[in-house]
Parts: sequence; C-alpha cells; structure tokens
Amino acid sequence: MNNKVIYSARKLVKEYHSNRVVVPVLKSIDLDIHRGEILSIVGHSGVGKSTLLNLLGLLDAPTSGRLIYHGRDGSIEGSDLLKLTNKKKAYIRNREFGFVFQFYHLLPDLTLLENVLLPSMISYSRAAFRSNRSQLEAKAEALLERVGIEQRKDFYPTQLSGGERQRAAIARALMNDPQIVFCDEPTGNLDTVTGEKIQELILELNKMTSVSFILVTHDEGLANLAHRRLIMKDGVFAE
Amino acid sequence: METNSGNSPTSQPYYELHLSLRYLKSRFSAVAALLSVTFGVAIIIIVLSIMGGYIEALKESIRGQESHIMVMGAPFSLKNIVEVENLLESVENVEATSPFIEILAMYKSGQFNPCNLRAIQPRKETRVSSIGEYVLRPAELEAILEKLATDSPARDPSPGGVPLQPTRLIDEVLHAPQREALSAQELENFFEDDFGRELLEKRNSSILPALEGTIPPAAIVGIHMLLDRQMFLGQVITIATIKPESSEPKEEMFLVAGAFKTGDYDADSKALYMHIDTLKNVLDLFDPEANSYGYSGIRIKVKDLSRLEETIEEIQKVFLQERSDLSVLSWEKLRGTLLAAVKIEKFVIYFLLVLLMSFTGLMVLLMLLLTVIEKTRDMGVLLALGATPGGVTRIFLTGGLITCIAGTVLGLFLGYLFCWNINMIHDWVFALTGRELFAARIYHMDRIPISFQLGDVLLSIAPPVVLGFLASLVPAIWASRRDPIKAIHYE
Repeated sequence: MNNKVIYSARKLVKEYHSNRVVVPVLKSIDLDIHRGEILSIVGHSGVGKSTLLNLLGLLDAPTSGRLIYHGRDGSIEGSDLLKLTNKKKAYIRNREFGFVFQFYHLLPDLTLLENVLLPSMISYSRAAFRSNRSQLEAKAEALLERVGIEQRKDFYPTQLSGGERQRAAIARALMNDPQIVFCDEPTGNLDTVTGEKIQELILELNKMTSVSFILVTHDEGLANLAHRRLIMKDGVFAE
Repeated sequence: METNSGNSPTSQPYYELHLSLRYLKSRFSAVAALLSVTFGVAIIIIVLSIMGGYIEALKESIRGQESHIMVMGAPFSLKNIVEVENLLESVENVEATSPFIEILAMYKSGQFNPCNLRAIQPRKETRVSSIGEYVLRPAELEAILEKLATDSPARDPSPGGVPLQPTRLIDEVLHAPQREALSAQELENFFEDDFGRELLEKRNSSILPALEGTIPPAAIVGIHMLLDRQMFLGQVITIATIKPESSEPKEEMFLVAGAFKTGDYDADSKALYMHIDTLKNVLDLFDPEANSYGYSGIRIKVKDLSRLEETIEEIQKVFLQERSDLSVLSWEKLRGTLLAAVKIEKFVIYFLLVLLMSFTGLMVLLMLLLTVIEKTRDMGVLLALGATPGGVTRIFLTGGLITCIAGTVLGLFLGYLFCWNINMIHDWVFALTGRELFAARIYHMDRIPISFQLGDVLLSIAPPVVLGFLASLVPAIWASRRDPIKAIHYE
C-alpha cells in the first residue's frame, strides 16, 4: 500500500423517493481510496454500505456529489467520473474496476475459464480476442491457479462449491488488471472455514499486486484484515 | 489492440456472439423456435412451388392445346376460310394458320358419356400447335398399353408396393429427350383408311364383317379414356351430336385410332381429335348461299412471341375493315380467368401462410423473452463488468436472427427435399391409405407439378427474417434496459 489517492468521493449524496417521501441513504460522504490498500466498510444492514459500493463502482448514480479518479487512463485523469458518458463509464468498469458479489454471479452457461475470461471478452473485439486467445487463456489459467482452482477450469459453476465459485469470481475480477476491486459481502454466503480461506486469498492477492480492495462486509474477521476500517451509520461514516 | 469501440462485425466485442450461441445451444425453447421457423419456411416454399408449378403446367398445357392466337366468331359462322386465312397471313408476324371446329357431343361405349370433338386439319395443325408433341405414335401407344397391361387394374401395386402410375410411364415416353414431335404426315396417317383397316385387323377383327368393307373415320382420343377402360384401341364407337343448322341429332361411328396426353386431365379424359373434313360433313356445315363451310375458328402461330399483343392489335385492325364479326384472342386471354384465379389463389394462400408465420415470430419472441427472464442476472453481471446496453441488445438480436436464418436455411432445404420427392411421397401415401391427395379429376393434372422460382424463394425467406428480426427486437431492447443493480439481485 502507498499513500497515493487513486479514487475520491466528495459530498456523495444518495436519496430515494418513495411515495413523495425523500429517503436519504447516503448523506454527504467524503472518501479517499489509496493505491494498494484494503479498505473495509462495516455497519448494520440498511446503513448504505452496498449503495456506496454501487456508486463507487459506477453501477448507480448519486443524487449529488463527485467521484474523482486518478487511474491509468490519462484522458480521464482527475476528472469527475459522473460526468462521463455511459459508454465511458462501462469502459472504466471493465478496465479499471473489478467486482466480487456475495452470490458470486458467475454465468452458468460458461465454464470457469470462460467466466474468468469474460471481462476480456467484453474489452476485446472478436478478431482481437481470437488472435490473442492463447495469451488471454494462459492469463486466466494463471489467475485460476493463483486462487487454487486451476484443475476446475472446464467445470461449469453449478458443478462447484460456494468457496470455489467465489475464488473464480475473484479471479474474474482480476482478469483485466483493475486498479480497484469492489467486494460486496464476499464471504457472506460462505461457511466460516471457507470464508477464512477467501480472506487469506484477498490478503495474499493484495500483497502480490497493487490492487486496492474495497470490502463491504458484516464479517468482523474480514474487516479486521483491512488496512483501514470505516464504520457506517445512518448514511455517514462514524469516524 | 482492437477493442470494442468499432461497429464492423469483426470489431464487435467477442462476448456478444459467444453468449448468443451459448444461450441458444442448450435451450429447448430455442429448438422449438428453430423448428417452427423451419417448418414455416418449408411449408411456404412447398406451397409456392406447387402453386407455381400448377400455374406453369396449366400454361404449358393450354399453350400445347391452343395456339398463340385464336380468331373466333359466332359458332360455325366462320366462312370463306381461305379469304380469312389470306387476310391473316398478310399480317407480318403471323407464321401459320389452321382452321378448326369444336363441338360438344356424346360417345357411346356401353353408356353415353360427354365429350368434346376437336376437328383439325392435321397438316396445318402441326404448324400452329404442339399436337405433334402429345400424340403418341402407334408403336409407342402399343408398347405402353402392353407394358401397362390395361386388361388388369390400372393401379396394380408394383413389386415395391408403390402403385404403378401409368401416366408417369407415358410422360417418360412423351418427354424423352431424343423424341421428336410427330410430323404432319405421321398425324395425317392416323386418318388414312389403310391405317384404320390394319388396326381393326390387329385389334378388333371380329367387327370387320359387320362393317362390310367400310372403315369408320378415325378419332384420336384422350389417353385417360383408354386407361380408364371407357374404350379400347381399335374399338368402333358411336358419337352422337346435333347438327348446328338444323338441330337434328346425328350419330356417326368412329374408330379409336390413337391417343394423346396433354397433361390437362379434362382434355385427356374428354377430348377426341378427328379430321376436319370428316366432321364438317357429319355436321353438314356447308352453306350453299356462301358456297362455303362454317368453322369454329382459326388458330394462329406467330413468329415472334414477344410481339404477341402488337400482332393481335394488327389483326384486329385488318378485321375491323374486312371482318368485324370476328374476335381475336391470345391464348392467355382465352383461359385468362382460370390463370388469374389460380394466381389470386396463390397470393391468398401466401398471405395466409405469412399470417401463420407470425406465430413463428411469436415463438421467437417467447423464446427470447424466456431467455431474457432467465438471464436477467447475467445481464446485470455483464453490465457491471463493462458491457454496454447496445452489446446486451445485440446478444439477443443475434440470437433471434441466428434462429431465424438457421431455420430459414433448414426450411428451404427441407422444402426442396420434399418438393423433389413430392410425387413419390404422394404415391407412398396412396399405397398406404388408398387416398389420392392430388386427384387428377380435381386438379386436371395427373402429377403434382413443381416449379422453383427465385421470386418464391425470396417470398419464403422474407417473412421469417423480417418477423424474426422484429420479434427479437422487443426482448433485446428490454434486456438492455435492465437496471444492473436490480438485475444482479434478481431471483
């Protein structure tokens, strides 16, 4: 981890409107994410953790606020990501961010190897993917090896255990060498032993790469592994 | 490195086609949609090919019996035939003319049956119509009758179990590549006394004493009259008709001297050709006042068929001055109502089939809607991983189009395969069930005619591709508009 800030949220507000009643979920959040850090966000259910993660991951739009990104792409250096076109946001999600979901969300029609390759299938044209297929597959296999399930590469997700699926989801999140991986309750659907193994894997991957991991979790063990731990309460950070 | 920013097919992101194919691969609904398109296209191509073939065969049959142009007046009012023929031959595009007489009659063979007498001048007739192509030479007819053994039932099952189709055998003889049409002399021979005598001696010698040395005039009969055993070759039949002038009944004996097959069942089962000199005397068509015989009309052959309408106008101009009582008609106009009716029928059937195809479009729509519902979470994941809504749209659009195009190709193949073997299939169905699906008596043709036309192929392809595309558009757009967060949490 170094101190360079790669992603900042400023005055991030998210409100929902229900029956003409405004329900504030996030109240002016300010947050800096450093390169290579593991940041955990904890809090009770409904305090806005997942909403914040969705906003940071450009899956949802805030009511107001700014998201300043200092990534590899010079064209957007220091710019507000919320002002980008949807196509450009999709590009950032594909190249700069990775996602790990509580329920893994692997595509059941694809093998494990194809699931890991999915981000590159999105970023590469048909012709480019075909001509680079062997290198991309080698990279995906290396990622599967790193998460310890390379022997399962030709299996379909339904043939795997929960822990194996989450490992594959982590490998998929790293396929396009992202700067930040957003993890929404990555151990929330796993038993304690398997959850601990996933924690170790995240720690190990963070040490081996300079990727930042943002963890939204209820899992105290996982939260305690983080370099920084933020507690959310009623739509704001408690400290 | 090429990325997903381009718009050409090869610059499309890899996942679109990959996921389209993967979603289609193992889905029963996709197979059902594919089969519905396949059968829809096959049905359209089969129906259009049969209808097209029917129209072609009908035209061919009419063209064979009729000439390019007919000149007709009131029944038997066409007198001074030489003068009229000379007038016609003065028109530049007229190649040949031939007068004819047609009248309804009854022939007696056990019982009385209606028939159509067609009296021709053999030498002239061969120059204006295709009569030489569909009249069987005596040797050909003998061989066919022997082979078919018409004494036994005509549709005896062959050793293979499929009923013998006598008409197919006759078609093989008539349409043999090396066969030449009968010459004028060959046609004239049928009406010679020597030919009649020889035929009677060979096939019906017992009647010779009763004839007391006279030989009845010859008639060439439609082949189905022989095949259906209404009469036999060499038989002497009685034909009864009414003299047009006096309305007196008139009976005359004729010798069944030969047979023809036009492919038009109506003609092949009811028409008899005879020499014009015989019939005009039998009917007493001589008009002493005009010092001329009365004819039904004149058939005309033109040199350049592309100038048919122009030639008709020219003849009409000539007749306007000299013979305004006569009308001039092209063969298409003469049977125009029938041809137009069949063409309208073809259009109506096509329209109904396109309506049927809309159910096929519905199948594609349902298949894709089911897939979109089933794959909602996948769409959320794809959008989260950087896929664009356009890319998600194309996954389903491509899926729908692949289904329709693959179904169309399979349907065309299936349709063609069926059409090529349709008569064999018809024979098998007949052998198994005893039912004639394409009854010659109804459709006036003894074989199911098929014609493959490019226009029909395009008409078969258009509905599934257009309907498939439209049916794919709705679910594809719906899928792309899913909120990724809701989609990811969709259960």
